[in-house]
Amino acid sequence: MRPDHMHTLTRRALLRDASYGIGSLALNHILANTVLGSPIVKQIAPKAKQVVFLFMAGAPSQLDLLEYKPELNKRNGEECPEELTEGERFAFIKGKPKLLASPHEFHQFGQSGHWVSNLLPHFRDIVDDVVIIRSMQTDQFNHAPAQLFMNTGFQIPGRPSFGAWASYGLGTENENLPAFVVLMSGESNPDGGKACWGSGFLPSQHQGVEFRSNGEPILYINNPDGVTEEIRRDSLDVLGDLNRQRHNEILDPEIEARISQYELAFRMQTSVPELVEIEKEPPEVHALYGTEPGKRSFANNCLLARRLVERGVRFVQLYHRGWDNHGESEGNDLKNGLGRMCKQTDQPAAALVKDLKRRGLLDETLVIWGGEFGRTPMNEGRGGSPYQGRDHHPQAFTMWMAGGGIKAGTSYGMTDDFGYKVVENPVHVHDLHATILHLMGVNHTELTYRSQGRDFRLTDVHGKVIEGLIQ
Amino acid sequence: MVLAFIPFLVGAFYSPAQTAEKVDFAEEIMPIVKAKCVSCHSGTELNGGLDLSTPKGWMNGGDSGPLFEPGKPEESLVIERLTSDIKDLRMPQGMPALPADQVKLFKDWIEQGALFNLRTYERDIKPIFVRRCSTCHQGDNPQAGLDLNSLESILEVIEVGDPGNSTLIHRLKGYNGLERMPKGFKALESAEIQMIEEWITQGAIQGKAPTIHWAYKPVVKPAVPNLHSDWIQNPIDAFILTTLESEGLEPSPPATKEKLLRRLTQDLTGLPPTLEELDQFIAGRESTQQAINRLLASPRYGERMATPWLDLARYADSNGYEKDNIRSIWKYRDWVVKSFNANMPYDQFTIKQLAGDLLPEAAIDDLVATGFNRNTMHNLEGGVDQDEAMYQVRIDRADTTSTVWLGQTIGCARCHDHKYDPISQKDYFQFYAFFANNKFDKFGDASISEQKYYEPSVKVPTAEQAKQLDALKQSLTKSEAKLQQISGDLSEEQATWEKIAIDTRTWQPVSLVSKDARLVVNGNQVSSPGAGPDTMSYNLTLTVPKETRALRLSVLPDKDRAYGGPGRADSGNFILSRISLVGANAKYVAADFVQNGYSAIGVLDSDPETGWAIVGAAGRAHEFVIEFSAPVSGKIELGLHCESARWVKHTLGKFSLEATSHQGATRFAMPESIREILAKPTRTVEESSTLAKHYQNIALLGRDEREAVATTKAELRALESSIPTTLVMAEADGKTEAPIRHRGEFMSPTEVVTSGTASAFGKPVSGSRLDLAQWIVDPQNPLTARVQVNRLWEMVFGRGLVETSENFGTQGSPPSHPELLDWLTATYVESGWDTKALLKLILSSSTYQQSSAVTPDRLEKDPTNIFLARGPRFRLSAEFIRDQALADSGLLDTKLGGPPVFPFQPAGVWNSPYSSEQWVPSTGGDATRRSLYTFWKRTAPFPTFMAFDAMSREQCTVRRIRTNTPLQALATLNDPALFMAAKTLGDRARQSPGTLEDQLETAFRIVTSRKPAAVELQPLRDFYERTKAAKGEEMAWTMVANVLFNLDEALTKE
Repeated sequence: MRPDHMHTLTRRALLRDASYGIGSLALNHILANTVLGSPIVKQIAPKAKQVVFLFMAGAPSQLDLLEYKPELNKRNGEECPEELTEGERFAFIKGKPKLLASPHEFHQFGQSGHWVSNLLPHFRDIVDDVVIIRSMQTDQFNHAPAQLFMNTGFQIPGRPSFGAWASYGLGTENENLPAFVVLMSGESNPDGGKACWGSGFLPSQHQGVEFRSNGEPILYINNPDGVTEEIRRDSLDVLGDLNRQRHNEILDPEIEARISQYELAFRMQTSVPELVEIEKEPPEVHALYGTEPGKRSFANNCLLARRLVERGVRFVQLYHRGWDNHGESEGNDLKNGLGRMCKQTDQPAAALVKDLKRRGLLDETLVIWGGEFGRTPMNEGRGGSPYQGRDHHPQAFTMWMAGGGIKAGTSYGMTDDFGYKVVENPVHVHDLHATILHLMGVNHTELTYRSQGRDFRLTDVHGKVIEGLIQ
Repeated sequence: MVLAFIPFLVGAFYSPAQTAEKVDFAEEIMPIVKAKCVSCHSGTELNGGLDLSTPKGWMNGGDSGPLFEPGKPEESLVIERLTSDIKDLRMPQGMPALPADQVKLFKDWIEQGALFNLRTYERDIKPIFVRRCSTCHQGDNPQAGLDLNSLESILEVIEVGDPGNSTLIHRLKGYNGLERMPKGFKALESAEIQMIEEWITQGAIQGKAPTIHWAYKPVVKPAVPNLHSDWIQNPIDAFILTTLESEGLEPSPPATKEKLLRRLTQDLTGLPPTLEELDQFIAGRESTQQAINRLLASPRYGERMATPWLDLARYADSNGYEKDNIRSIWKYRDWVVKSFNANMPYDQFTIKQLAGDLLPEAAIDDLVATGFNRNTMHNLEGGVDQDEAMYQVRIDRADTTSTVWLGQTIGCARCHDHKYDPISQKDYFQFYAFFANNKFDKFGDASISEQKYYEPSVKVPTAEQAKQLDALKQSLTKSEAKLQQISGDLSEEQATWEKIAIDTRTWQPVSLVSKDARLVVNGNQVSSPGAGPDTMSYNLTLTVPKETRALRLSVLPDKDRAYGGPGRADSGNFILSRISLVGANAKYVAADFVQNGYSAIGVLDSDPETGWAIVGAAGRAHEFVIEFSAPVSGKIELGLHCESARWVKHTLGKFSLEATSHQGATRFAMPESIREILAKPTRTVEESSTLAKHYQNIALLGRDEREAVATTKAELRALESSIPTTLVMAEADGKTEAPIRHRGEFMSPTEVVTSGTASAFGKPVSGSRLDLAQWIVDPQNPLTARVQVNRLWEMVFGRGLVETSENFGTQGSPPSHPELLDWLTATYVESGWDTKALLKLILSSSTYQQSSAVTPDRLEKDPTNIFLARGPRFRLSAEFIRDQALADSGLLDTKLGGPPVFPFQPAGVWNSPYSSEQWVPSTGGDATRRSLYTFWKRTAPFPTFMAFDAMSREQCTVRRIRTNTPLQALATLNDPALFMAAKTLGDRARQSPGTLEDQLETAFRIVTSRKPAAVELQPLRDFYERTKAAKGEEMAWTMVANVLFNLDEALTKE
């Protein structure tokens, strides 16, 4: 391709072609670094350049953490009013459920005066840095579909995830690293599986790249045994030489694109190992997060998330699974089970916000905390279990956000006296998506991709920006 | 069955309208505007502040004021601008003026009142009548003589220009005491009535029938262009050359022989040619036609063709969703491979997959084929509503069937009438209804949480297994007949039994010793503390009393174990797989309780997975009696073996052993209920009868005959459990009907509709899945063959004649060579849907055989190779990249079919929240089988495939997007499995004859099918020498091969 021809292609034309797929992608790749690395949608005054989503897979109980309900406590053990449960489907609750007070104490903190449960001693420190959304709603009441819904806007696997949309729409700020990184901790991986960070029908380079806690941080980032960095460099030079010779013969622009991808791979090989060396952080930082290098832990991942943010990674998502406190056993009840999860996550999550703030990164980084749905104000009592636990509850749950242009020190929305239903300012998952995209400077109705004959969006045909959450 | 596939042209032709024709803004003005005006007057380019892309923009006008004055073309700005003599004012600026007839359209439109929402009978009104009124008011003898399909007839019930005075409107609204129409049905929507009123007001214009979308038109075989050129080898070339000439392009020279054979081999087998095959071909000992025939006949062909089909079928070896358990449906995958290899006609291939179970006298293979629609995911998460889960599955079946065979994405219409394609929400649920009557069994009690459902599966025996099955069944019939013949009085026998069966003196403790330090022996009791190993054998030396005829093993409960034991498994269970004896022979065995699916007799065979187990009755003592063929005394050796590999730690915790000299001691192992009756001093009539019944089955009389029946049954069970199962479709007794669901939501069912296809796709069909399948492959169906021909073309050229191979609807891309597509389609159907013949035709064309090298001129005129002035050149798909490396290195195991395999993948990829299933790497040949046999786990697919754009197979994928990313580079550089292939190729090259140059050339040629030029060999040689100096010869060869595998040329079909 002659260079002058290249310049006659407008970016818009190129991207339009690209969205029609295959052949045109070749063209796209010539400009891989410029096009794929830069925004394809118009950004309007972005407040959040980067996002860290702390996804609490399994669904934390809002009623035992941030949603203080004295009336619920008062009526502990009474049958749940029928007007609330009529026509509702539950995952596990059968018969007439009974209201369940929180076994934990709540106190008010900060200038905002938010009520916080004593399970979250560190959250108190950042209580004025966050906005608490009390009126979250979702459509799904089982884990896998609800996690997919929160992460892709659709309950069945196969749609692009939030991070993939962000990568596709906004590109990356560090061409040596993927735009979308996923970090995992907790009992196991999330129920929704890899589809939670998949690229769906978007080109696969937008899928979340899983940084692994054991072995290589990125799959195949390490050279095979016995291959030194020098040999790898030497081999890539020979490879480049041979590929260039072939290009001179064949002139297919795809060959040039491949050469540049191999060079990018090499740069990743050199930058990633340094990135994951959290042990090099000073002791004071480890004390802040509660990190123990070498372990699979949420604390390590929070610290790693900060390092990723510093290096310009667009979307970092942490999954920590284990919040599914049904109370069917002692280890999974609201005291021990929930307590254990809070111990693992409270300090590091608060540390991340504090650390970003003192480094001046919080203003342009949006930190989001929450699960796939909430939990019932009623005790589940599965099979007559004597332990306290709550069933899945899509009608109302709580999330918080910090930094990146949100209205810090406030809360939004309200639920009834039991925390059963939203009575004021509901925020549906689609609305949350629209709002986060807005904070990133993107109109959610304009971030589209054509697949199977129609334009798709993260927010499907729904979603409205919630102004009340924005500074 | 003859079907008329002429969408929208149903019914009579009309006499010329008695009403004046009016210019239709949308149909006539907008196409001109779009072609000539919107590039400067829409979106962000609003020259003169004017947006001409929407009616609103037209009404708003621009900086120079309003665009038009209704009724007064001569005073309208738009006409002035279109006809101005002043160069800078006349629009389109800098372009030729619009022709006079087009300008006249603008003028007439303004003259006629400048209506944006012109209603025409053909486009707007007739569809309403067809939908709502045609049941009664259509055809030869319509109700009240009113035929709403005839404009002439309608004009009798309306007052043109005056809806208020039109009977039709009165009837629709139910005015003046007249009965509201449609009689007995829901009234028309007010928007519909308003549209009819507007139509009458505007003059009841007929308008033109909407044009039929190209893909819905019948396929008519076009004439082959009459061109004369030596380049033309078959009709494909004539079509291609016609377009090339009109585009000012020339075909490329033919590909070199080595690259041609490489391309043919990759396209037909997904593998590279061997050096021997290359030599044959280059030397001219094999012609191109011979090569094509050879490759089409190779079993590798079926594997290659199956690979993309499995994407369409969303084939996977796990259920998907949260639990994502393993499923067994690989027989379907093998069926696809086999069917391609046998060149099964595509219509048969279709019918069997969609409705094989409904064929008369369906063979087992026909059932296996229906696995296509059993490849849907299966949600087993706790708390899931079974019916809703089934609803999602059926939706997937309907959507996938439509996408794969009709190239129509109907999913949009689940929630609302399709915005672009002629599919209403009702059409959607009618199509859905074909899939709504499948058999499924809910499992589990809805009141105790976790609910599940199952759909049918079948066992698929090999020919050999089928023979064995037959033989065993016959032998069972015989021994059962024999048993029937035995009769006699049992009362005396039973009376003796009753006396000794529960007498505590019947059994005597045995003394025993063990050399196994893990066992603690205390008298006649043995215990094995702790969790123990996964499998365990208990070897004991017993000293038994004189005339010992049987041993009793009592397994003992233990409150410290899970479920109170007696086994060491999490369930309290164990599996006694086998017993061994020295100094005695076991003849009969029996137990007091046996878990379903297990049997006492299973301990006598060598299968570690059969034996005695007790789930359902843990926490209690159980007994197992071993009766000898002859009495023994003194020392004997007894081995109790718990060897199940499938169920780990199913071993014994605590047990004791006793001996008896009584005959027929297996009779003393009895269920708790019998023991209780025996212990009672007096018995009711009912109890006596229970006892007698029980005794009949254990009596000494006829014991051998009963034993023979039991043994055969156990063999039969063992054989059956070794036969693989596969998931299949089956219909329930109900009807193929389903409710329409408001906005597609499960909780909002409304009107029930019966199965049927949308009228837009030809004469509708109703009935079963088989009726649907036959409708799909009817030669008159305009879509099915086009869609498949296009996919085959796409497979070969990297881009379909219709680029959006997944969407032939109005939003898909139009065909680049419509006549060629129809010619190929007609040829395919005429040939009896002969896929191999079609591929042979394509591969024999000059078009296909061109060199894929690009020239600057060709790149500029046709960057994406739409017109095919050069051969195809694109990256291989994920599976073939791995297959090729295995083939090049010589590691590839070409075993055809079988259960999925587990080639090496890094630890930790497979991490399911709920399953203990592990990725245990296959050993031997299974580690290097073709990629399509790799176990496909939906939530954790094989990572190297995913890097190269494979899909999780959660949903149907028609077209994988091809990307080029650094993660791909990392995979092919560093994946240990591919690095191992590089090492093996290195060894192969090192051991090949000749000088170092020769050996390097051989390696290069294995990977690229061509000889390297000197300038290519030199850097490789230098690299080899440098690496050898640093790391030795083996690593040097490995690295050379690693470089070769990563060449663009190696990863690309060119």
